[in-house]
Amino acid sequence: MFDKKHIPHLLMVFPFLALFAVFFLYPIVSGFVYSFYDWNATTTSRFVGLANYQRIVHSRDFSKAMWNLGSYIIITVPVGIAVAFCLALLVDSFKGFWQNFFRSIFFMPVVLPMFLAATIWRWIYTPNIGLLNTTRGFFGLPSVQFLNDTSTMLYSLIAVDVWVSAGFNMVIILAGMKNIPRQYYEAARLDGASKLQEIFYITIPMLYPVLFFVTTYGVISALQVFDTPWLLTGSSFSQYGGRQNALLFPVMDMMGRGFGELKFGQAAAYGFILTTVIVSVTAVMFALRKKGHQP
Amino acid sequence: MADLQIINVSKSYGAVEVLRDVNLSIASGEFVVFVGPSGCGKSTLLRMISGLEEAPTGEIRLEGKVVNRVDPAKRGVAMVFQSYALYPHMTAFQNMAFSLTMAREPKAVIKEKVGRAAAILRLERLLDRRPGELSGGQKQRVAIGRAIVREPKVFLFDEPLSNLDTELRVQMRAELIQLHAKLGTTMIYVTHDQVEAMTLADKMVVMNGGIIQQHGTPLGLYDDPDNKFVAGFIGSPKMNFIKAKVEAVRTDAITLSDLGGCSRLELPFRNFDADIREVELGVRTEHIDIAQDAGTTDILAAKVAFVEELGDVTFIHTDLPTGERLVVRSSKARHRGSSTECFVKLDPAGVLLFGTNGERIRSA
Repeated sequence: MFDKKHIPHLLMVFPFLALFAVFFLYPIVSGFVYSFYDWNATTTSRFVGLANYQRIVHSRDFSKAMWNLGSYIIITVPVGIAVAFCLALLVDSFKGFWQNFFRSIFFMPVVLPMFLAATIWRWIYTPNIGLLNTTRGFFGLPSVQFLNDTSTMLYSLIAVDVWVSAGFNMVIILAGMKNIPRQYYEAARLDGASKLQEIFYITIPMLYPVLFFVTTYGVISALQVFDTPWLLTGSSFSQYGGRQNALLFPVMDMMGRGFGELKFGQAAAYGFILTTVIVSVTAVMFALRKKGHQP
Repeated sequence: MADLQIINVSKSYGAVEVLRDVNLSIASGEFVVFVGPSGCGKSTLLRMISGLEEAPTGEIRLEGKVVNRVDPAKRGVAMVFQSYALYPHMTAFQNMAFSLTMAREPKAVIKEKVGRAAAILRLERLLDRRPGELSGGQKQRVAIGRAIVREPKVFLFDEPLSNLDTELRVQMRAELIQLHAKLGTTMIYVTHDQVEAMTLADKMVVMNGGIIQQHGTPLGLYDDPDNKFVAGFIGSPKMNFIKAKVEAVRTDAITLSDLGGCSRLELPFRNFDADIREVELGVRTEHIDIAQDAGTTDILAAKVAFVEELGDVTFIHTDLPTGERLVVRSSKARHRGSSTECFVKLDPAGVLLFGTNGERIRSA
């Protein structure tokens, strides 16, 4: 039974519900509907059933993008967290001014606009005259086409992404480290634990919830990777993904189909495939956490 | 078992002096309790013995060897922390075995040593549980077990019972006394609870302001304190203090006046310094009696402020006309209403004298 006393409550949540309906719910529902239509924004849409989903799943670009994504996640997430963890240990070993100084330095890439970060790295990766190749030349090593050689392109992208995200993860891990009571380390010192043993027996297990969050967040972010490879490769809807699509990722593929080829129905279907993948992976991670040990 | 000497040890944090020229000798197998109010430096001293805090000046000698620069793990000391410091992700067994695991001892040795410690502390059935599944007392026993497993020369306890409820604290106190009797190892225990200190200690070290005020047996300190701080800190309820003027000094006695405003008291005292004109009397509650009437000059008139009835004993809190508070222990009177007039009588044999500087004035 509807109670009249809830009318003021409903009135108060109405502005949010209205905005949510217009800007979130409607696009999601209409996107889902469009995923079953062939539509290029200029002609009349035509119902095609599951054809968009079939075309995407059977396309070579989708397979390539998914393969790239898998390789990217498997390397970026653990490497990124390992780097962030080491940085957090380093920052934690300093006190006072120097701790703040290094924390700010390592966090700087996070606040840097992605466009600027990509420009810096494109210059670093430039063949012959870039920072890396100049350094290699100094040691007599040949120039490497970091962003144009299919054997190095993925690693070049991972280096940029780790550089960009390490500061953010470091701050979260550092906050977790600060929450570990000092007595645990003192007890371990008295028990003869080395610094390395302290890290493996105390720090890492005690950071389990923090590391789980950072890993989950890292995986979800990596599943949506777009801006870095987009900026490192063509940065346009007609040219992206780099040589032999070595840096083609699902979100780029989706954007290209939508705004490059004007196949909005396919782009919408792509979005729902990606959403399903992200939700499934997140659910699996949470299930694993429940099964795993919790301090 | 090991003896320990602390020689001229001082410690400062910036401008704040935490410990000042501490000297102490602890015999092998002794149960020593550092007691004092918060911030007196007792925990810092304990941490310096453990090696968790540096001792920048002075020497700490364990079995005759200076250990100031020896790594905490190699000093042969084990510490039980106030917060237990049990690793929440490990079972009781893993916690107790931690030092042996770090030393990469064979599994059979670890099992045997942990099993032995668990038997001493009756923890056999709890070894598979994590700290989150243990009660406060059980956690404390696991923490003690972790220390026992290391077979240390000296056990260090940093307020280990302060997180437990009263009943459990009394129980754990008894267990610690039995454990000390069983192991015979030197134990150093820090607490701010003087009752805990009195019940546990072979030797009690009273600290205040970074200085050892006095050390000795608990009853020695109770009966014969060196200064007003020790006299006031030891004993519950604390010692009563009353200001008085020295009226007359003779070879073997003195006469005090102005006690509680107008009373006089004759005290046996040899060779009292005739230059001292003002003193403070320290009297424990058991050395004061409720008098029937103001028949003699040594009877003090007072007013009952409130009464604490504890069943076997009653503490009558009285106010003197000077505003000083006198607590009287009585096993006779069961109740006396507040604001009623009464008379109290001091037992001269139980009166201690303190100078205006707080130091004890002793009879020669």
